Amino acid sequence: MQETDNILEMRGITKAFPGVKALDNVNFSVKRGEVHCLIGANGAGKSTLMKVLSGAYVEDEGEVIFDGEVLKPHGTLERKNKGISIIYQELSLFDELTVGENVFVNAYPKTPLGTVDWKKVYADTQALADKLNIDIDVKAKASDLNIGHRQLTEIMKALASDAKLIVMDEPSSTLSKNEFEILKKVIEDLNAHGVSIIFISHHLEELFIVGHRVTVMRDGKFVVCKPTSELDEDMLVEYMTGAKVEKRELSKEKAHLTEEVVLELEHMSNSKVKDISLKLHKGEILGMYGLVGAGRTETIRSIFGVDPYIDGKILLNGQQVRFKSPAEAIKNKIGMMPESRKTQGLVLLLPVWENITMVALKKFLKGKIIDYKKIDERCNDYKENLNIKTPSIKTLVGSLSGGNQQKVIFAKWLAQDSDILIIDEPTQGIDVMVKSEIYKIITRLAKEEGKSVIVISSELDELLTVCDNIMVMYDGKQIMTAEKGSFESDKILQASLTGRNE
Amino acid sequence: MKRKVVSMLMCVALIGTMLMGCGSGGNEETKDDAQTEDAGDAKDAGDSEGGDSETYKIGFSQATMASPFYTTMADTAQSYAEELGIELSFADANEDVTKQTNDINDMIQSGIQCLIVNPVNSEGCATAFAACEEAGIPVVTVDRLAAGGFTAAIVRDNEEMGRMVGECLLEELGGADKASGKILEIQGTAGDQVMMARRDGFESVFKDVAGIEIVQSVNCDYARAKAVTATQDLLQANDGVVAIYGHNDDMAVGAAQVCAEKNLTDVKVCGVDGLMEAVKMIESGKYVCTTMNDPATELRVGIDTAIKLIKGESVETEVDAGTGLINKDNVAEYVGDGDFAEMK
Amino acid sequence: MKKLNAGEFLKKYNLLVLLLVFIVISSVLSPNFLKLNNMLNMMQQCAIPGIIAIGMTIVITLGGIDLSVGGVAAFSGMITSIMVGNETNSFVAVVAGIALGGALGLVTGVLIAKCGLPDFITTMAMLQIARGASLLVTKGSPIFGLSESFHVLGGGKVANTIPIAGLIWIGLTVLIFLMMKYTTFGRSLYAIGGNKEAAGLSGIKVTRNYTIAYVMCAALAGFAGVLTASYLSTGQPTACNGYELDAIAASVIGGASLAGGISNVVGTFGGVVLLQIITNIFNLVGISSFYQQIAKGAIIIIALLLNKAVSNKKN
Repeated sequence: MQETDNILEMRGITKAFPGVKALDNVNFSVKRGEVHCLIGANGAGKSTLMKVLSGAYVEDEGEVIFDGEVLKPHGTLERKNKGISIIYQELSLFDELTVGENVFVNAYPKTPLGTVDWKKVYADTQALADKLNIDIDVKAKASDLNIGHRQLTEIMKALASDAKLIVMDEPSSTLSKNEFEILKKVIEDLNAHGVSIIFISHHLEELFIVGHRVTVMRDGKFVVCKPTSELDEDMLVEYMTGAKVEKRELSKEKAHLTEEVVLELEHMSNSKVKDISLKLHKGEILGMYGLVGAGRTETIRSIFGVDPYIDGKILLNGQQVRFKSPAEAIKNKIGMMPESRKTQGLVLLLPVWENITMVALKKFLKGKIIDYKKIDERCNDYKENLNIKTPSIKTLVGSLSGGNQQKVIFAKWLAQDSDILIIDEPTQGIDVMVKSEIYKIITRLAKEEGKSVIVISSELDELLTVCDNIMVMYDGKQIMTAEKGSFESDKILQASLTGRNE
Repeated sequence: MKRKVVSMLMCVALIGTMLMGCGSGGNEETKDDAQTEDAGDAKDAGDSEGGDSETYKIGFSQATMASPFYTTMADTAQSYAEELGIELSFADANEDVTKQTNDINDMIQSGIQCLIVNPVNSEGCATAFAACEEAGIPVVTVDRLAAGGFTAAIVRDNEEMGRMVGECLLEELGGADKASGKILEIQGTAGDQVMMARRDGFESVFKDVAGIEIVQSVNCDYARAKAVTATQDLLQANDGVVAIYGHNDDMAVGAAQVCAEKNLTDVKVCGVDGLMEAVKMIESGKYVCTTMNDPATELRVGIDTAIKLIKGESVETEVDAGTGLINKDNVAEYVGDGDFAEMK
Repeated sequence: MKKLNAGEFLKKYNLLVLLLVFIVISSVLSPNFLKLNNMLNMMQQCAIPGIIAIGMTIVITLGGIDLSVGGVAAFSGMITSIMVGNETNSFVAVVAGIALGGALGLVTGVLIAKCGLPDFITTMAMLQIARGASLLVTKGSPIFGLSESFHVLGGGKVANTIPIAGLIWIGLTVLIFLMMKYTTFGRSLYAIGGNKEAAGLSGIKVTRNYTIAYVMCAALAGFAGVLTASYLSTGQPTACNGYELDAIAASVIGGASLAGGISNVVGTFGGVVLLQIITNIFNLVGISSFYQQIAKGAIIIIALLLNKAVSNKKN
């Protein structure tokens, strides 16, 4: 009955990547003039689904019907021309261009002479702004706009290309309350003009403000689709976590931690996170859980001396420290394996041995001279012990697989022998076999060698497996800390999704 | 991958062939030359007195090729050497003293018997000249002067040139009694000996001419573009300009252009060098006079001197390449295709 | 030792092969080419651009570039010449010239590493400043009448045959090669050039090492300028004009990547020799110097193509 009313229908969409079924027979539909919210935890498949919609990915099975027409996979430009517009979290405006230029950058109106009709560019942009009741200087440079106005410029850009469906990926994560209010009004105006919106957000309360219906996804599967009026936050969390259906069997054994606190944060704040307090004991594995952007990486960057902290204290073995550089943190026996292997963790065009010795090169000196024989021995030891699959330690690290690259990074910090090791996303994009090897390494480090480890992960299972304590963050704040033996995955998930601790 | 390597090899081969190709002309010559030389050696028991049939090897290190004056020199060197059957090594130092020193050292290695050099500057060649001396190779400088270490210098009397131009101009202005007004002097490079000589020679003529005031420009480095700007400025600042004298024709021609633009057809323009552009302007009455300073003659004198030195004949330390005035009376003789009017 | 087949050999030693090809061609073209005297002559000629190229290679390893070396060399040469002309002890004057280069490098390094200015424009500005300054100190005229003892450094010969400057160049090449390979500082340059962020997160002092590299590059350029003045027995404000480009070319021919992280000081040595052979053989055979420039350009392109073939293989 309502079939004809749907601007978009995605039916039975399945998409598999090597080793993972990212989407499994997902159904998803959006009505004309509707704000449809799409939610799910990290890795639930929202982004993959939107990439299928945008044409960036081609579905393995299923079909995408837009405006009554079955869309063939012809790439993103074709979808855009049909009226599907996606506004990504990292906005894609040209900083040095004006609002008007950004809005029309894909198709400038032309004068009869074939030159750009600047009068029309700005008049049309102004008209769009008026239509949406946006107060914006159409001749301002994008770099001079605040984040809210940048977002609105993106929306105008979408409208300028006659978008019928706009996907907003986390539009509110960086907006202030006021800016959100404006966004909400614009969304209402868009609806009034018959434009449909897919609204993706981690902030559940927002869904009830702007959304008409909600689709929940979990583990690549469609869970439920209901009007917001029939839902509340608790129900959403339950759908997202599936807590009732699949409660994990968790060890009830308590962690045995020494009393010795090696690292302590006392109400630490920096420009991204507020009021973080934690204690890291000798031999402890502390997990940090939260959604992407919740402030986990930002917290440890201050510990490691990358970003300064502005309030509170960081205590190392009881002494307050304020590292100005990673070099200083490393000197104080703190190590960090960053989130992005390829851009932060490794120098891809250098060989394995050079990456392994990058931090601890001073330990391979004979006098002032590098002792290549020692490097050779030690690196080959690591290669064997960590089971790094590389033809030789002279192989360029860029040619190794993700899992083996991660092991090289482990070797690099093992060589340095830090007391505290911070590991940001240790297993991202790594296959299951290597994952379990990495868990073993982490556990051995803490339990056998007495190191203290902080593990950041977006995979809760991973943290539940290896950690003694798990701290949950939400929106730059610390929400709760769970102890081993009394982990409750649904509670942790709920805290990470809602920012509430019950 | 294999294909790539092959194509690389092709490239190398290509360039190699290019080199060989470039070299082959010279190479064959060298071979022929070597044979004649051998023959000569056999007959003449090896030394230089053996007459004109022997092939001499001379090097010419040019300071720069950045103006027609210098390219004419280089062209003449090549053509005159061919005419005389001399083997000539040529290198352009690009105004770099180090490169000139390296070039000369390379030439010594290639076995030149005499070096002709236009030094980048007067002090820069000391090391190279010392190397020549060590190798027993005489050095002949052309155009610019070296501070020392040379066997002979082909020179021109720049003061005389300035004086000749000055006298001709004075006559045009009605002689010492009648001449009055301002003369703009567009100057060459600061502190340059040539500039000073041309200035002194010219100004000596007007020293006692009461009606004439000489206004000197900023240094225009013998470049037309700078001269144009300077002339424009000076014409703004001075009334009663009757003549303009440039330390070379290139600058003076620029000044003449400015006058033409401003409709100052009465201003009499003159310069030094015998630039053909200026010579043609004399023919059409837009320019008063110039004196010859043609690079071709200078280079020919240089090569002649070099041959004399190789033969062991004695030469003066300073060899004057001569000059001569060109004005409306004799201009017809000198109009030609070259960049500079050549001495007859 | 593994056996290499012909293809692999060509890839590994492509520059060496190219050099050999040129040496063979050159010796066919001119019987004078392979003579000992010409080899010594070339050794002298390579020394100054060679020393500048070593410094350039250090900076290129970081992913940087230094366009100021020619100007810095001229300025250092002028200052040293003035001091020698004023009868300052030659040794003191030489050290002052090198120190001046280092000081200019420190300014450049701090501007780039600490203030985050773009290297290309910053060093180009420094080139202007240094060149202008070297003209200014004597209002553009060269300095002459330098002492015999000062001439020994750049123009002297051991046993009246082997040029001292050439020996210095070879010595510095070996020294910097060892530094790049066997010291933590040297290795850190490769890490920074390969991935600045990863290097910083690995505890490498990026800003400090960046600055030091620029200091070294400029100090070497300053030294080359001093050698030039010594070799020519005159301080020339226009000396070493355009040498930055030859130095970059030599580094890249030698296998350095302008993107940073890859370089080889010994390769740079070979690059300098290759470029010098071209000038030398053209002069020996007596071919117009216009061809020299064309040939130089062609050689640079060929060397790059060979390098690319090698790196493609590695990937």
